[in-house]
Amino acid sequence: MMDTVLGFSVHMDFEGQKLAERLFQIIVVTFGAVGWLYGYYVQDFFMTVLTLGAGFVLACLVTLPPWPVYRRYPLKWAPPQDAASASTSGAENTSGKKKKK
Amino acid sequence: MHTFLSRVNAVSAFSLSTLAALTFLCFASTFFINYTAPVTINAANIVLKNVPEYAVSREKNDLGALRFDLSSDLTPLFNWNTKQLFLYLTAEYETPNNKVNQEVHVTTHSVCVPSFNSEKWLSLSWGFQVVLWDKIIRRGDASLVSLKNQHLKYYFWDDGNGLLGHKNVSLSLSWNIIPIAGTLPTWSGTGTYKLTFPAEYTQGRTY
Repeated sequence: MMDTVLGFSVHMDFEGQKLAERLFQIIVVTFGAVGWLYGYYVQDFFMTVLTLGAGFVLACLVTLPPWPVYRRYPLKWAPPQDAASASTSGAENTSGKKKKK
Repeated sequence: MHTFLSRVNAVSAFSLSTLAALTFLCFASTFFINYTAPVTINAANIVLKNVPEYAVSREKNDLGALRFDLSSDLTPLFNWNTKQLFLYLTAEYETPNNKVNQEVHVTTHSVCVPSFNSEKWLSLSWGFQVVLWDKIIRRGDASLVSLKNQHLKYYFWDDGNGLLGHKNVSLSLSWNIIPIAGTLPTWSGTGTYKLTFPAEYTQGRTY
């Protein structure tokens, strides 16, 4: 079963997951570093927290929804095999693994 | 990362770790700051009484009272890691009963800083100190302290007759820096006021 939220499929492919993780790391760390420097400049740590919060919101917008850029490399599955030719337990096993990914 | 919720989890956890690192760096950036400041203290209306302190015993003890002026610019103490200041005015003096930096026997006031035979306090080279007054200054409050003719907040009890005619009681202001993150350091202001108590007790209710 693919995961869905409100009926929309939200999964990303492997390349998309890698990209999304790298993106939110860059966004959050950049906002944190800039916010730290800005907070030091104005001597108010709350400004640092606010800036980091803005980075968090932006990272959520960029990486939480499954934008098309994260789904450009769908897995190419092997064609379904004839159920009668393969052993029943083995077929169930492989199909289960496929679905989890 | 393949489901929506696992991405929510990953982004939140990473952001919180970043916040923790930034908080630590904020603490580190203020750890070596010198938090002392010049303070001007003056005292007037110095009165000494000899009255029983029934909370301890029926014996009469010395009770000092005075009004004080205090002025200091504490603005430099407020940096981005200062949440609030706890100011306290102490009187430090030495009597035959209480030698500075020796074992002190104190009456049961919570306002007397050296506690009963406490090794911890003795190891700090502090004298016999009595806290007379305190004040909290929060971030954003007026940090330019200028007080005139203030009453003491706490009773200035001696545990005997040590204040009579005492010529070397020094008033000084100290503060705890309450930070947003990090240690809770105690610093003292530079500038003390040397107090001289009268050689006779005041009778009656005069204050």
